[in-house]
Amino acid sequence: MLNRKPNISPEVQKRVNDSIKKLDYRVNLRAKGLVQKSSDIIGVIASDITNPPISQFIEAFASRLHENSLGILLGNSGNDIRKEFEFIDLFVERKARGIIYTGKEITEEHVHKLNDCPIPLLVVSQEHEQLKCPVVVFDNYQASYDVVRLLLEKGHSRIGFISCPIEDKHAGLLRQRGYRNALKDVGIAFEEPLLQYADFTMESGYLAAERILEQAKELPTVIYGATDQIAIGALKCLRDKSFRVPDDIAIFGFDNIPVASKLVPSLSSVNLDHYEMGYFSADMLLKMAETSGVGIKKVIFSHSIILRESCR
Amino acid sequence: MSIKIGDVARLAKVSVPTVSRVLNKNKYVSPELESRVLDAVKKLNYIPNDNARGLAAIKTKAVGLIVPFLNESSSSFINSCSTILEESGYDLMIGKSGRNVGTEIELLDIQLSMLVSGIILISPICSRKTISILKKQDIPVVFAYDKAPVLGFHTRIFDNKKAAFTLVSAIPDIGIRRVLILSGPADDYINYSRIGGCRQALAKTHNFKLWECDGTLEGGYKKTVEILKKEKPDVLVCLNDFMAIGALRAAHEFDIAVPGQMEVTGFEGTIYSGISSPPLTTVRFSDHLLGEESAQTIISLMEGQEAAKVKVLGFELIPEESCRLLKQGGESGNN
Repeated sequence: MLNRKPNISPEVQKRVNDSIKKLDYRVNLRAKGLVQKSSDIIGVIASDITNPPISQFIEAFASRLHENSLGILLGNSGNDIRKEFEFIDLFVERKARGIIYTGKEITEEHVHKLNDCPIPLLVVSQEHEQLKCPVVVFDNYQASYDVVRLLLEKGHSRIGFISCPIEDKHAGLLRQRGYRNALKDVGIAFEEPLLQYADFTMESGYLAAERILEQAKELPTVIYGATDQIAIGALKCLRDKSFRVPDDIAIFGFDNIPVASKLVPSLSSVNLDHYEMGYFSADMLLKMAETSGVGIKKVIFSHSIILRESCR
Repeated sequence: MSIKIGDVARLAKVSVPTVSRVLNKNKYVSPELESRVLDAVKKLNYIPNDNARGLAAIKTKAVGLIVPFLNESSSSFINSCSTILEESGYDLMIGKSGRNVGTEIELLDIQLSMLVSGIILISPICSRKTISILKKQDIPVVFAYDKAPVLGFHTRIFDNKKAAFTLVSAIPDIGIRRVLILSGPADDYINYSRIGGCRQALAKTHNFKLWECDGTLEGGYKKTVEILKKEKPDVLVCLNDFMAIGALRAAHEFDIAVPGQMEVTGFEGTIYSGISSPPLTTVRFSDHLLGEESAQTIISLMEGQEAAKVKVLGFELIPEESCRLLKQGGESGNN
């Protein structure tokens, strides 16, 4: 329920603390009468906070700010550009110390608006060549490419893929491109029915898996979902249709959300440490507010592949 | 009747601040939106009130919301709450307290200084200071999920005690089974209520044990491992779904068949209750409905209407595979 702490393992928290130490990203807020004019809040713009990676990021980000006696104000935009811009204006008006933007896509209009923002701004999990502010991202292309290469090495040659909408450059476009290129690089022809689309929910993952099973000329040996939510939906679909996972068809996810390790079978996934990213982003934004710029354009967080029961 | 800025916004299908931005020409608005607004202004023959326009032309109507944590429940609450508020022209400003008294008070201060027209608090800690700040304001306050420690605030909650009682009582012959209750921190009002409901259902037999953990997925898993090393209950009642999913994982690792050798129940009915293996028997609360209800209440109050002081939302018992006793008991009971 509401008062339950989010599901974050202690190991992750420790790792985060260690990495922060290594980066020497201590923030001294009391420094030189810092920003007397601005308030004690940071504005966050999120497209959909029901999406676990986003809520995990914000949880971590906000915890880090609390350690520095700062609060967050959260604008949940529902991916509506008009609302996103209103929130930016509101945060600027209320003299927020900085803004985190973590939306689903960055359009030309966004670039214009974000570049004009008069207070420190950090873009998370998205990027655009014309953006002037720093960005913090995962290498979604490489991570997805690595997954597919690994599946191929394990003898899977028929790999079903459930993609996010490609308007989302990172979770959608780049993860799909990683899939396509990995197949191409080993000379496997791309098969249309093996690629299906889903939005970010389990239900749509379920339906997409159903379409793969119905439309594929020959059943896939593994279904790889572009997010864990999607992969979990696919897992449920296979279970409902009495396929054994992983013996009949294996399942692979992406994001390594907390519940992935506790499912039966536990879900193989790509670990993107959204929690660590949240911590880091908080420190980076505070540093930006303190020194008016950190001289960093882009920070890429590493990823790792975690093999569990759903795909050995 | 004079044309108001809201009428322009409605016709142009944009928000009020967007209209005032176009009229004031002081902020960036996309060309497409701008032309929609100007068309609407023309069509309605709207004449902006210059006095209002000079001062705080974009006085956004906002509602403050303070949440302890962002998780599946609060996210779902926030989504429905913000949708309803937005339809009435209110922005939602969300602050996350991390269940820290200092942060809670600070966020309250920030939101009040932003001139919010109402405040919704989700399961707040409610120190004396929080209460006194809230009492001093002449703006509406709604408590969600948790009762306010003093009378006078509007409250929207679930009946945790009754739901727990209903779930446990529905398990046939519960009195003769070894029951173990796994709870999150018991000093918390919600967990306390759930434990109370279980106790009531088991009052005749007292044949149960109570274990406590931090209430998370990982906590539920570890505690169940610890339990299973010592004993195997007939029924493991987990007072939220996440602990239950952790418990199912632990049972799987101990080669204990669920159902069969042990029965497991969850609580809350989150989206994950349906995807565990086996699917979880649980009671479902709708965070979505509570979010809507809380939003509607605060809107009524902000607009000077009356609203019931306390509303208790219902729940639904979901019999699933993880507790076959209850599932079969329920089915035969229906015949």
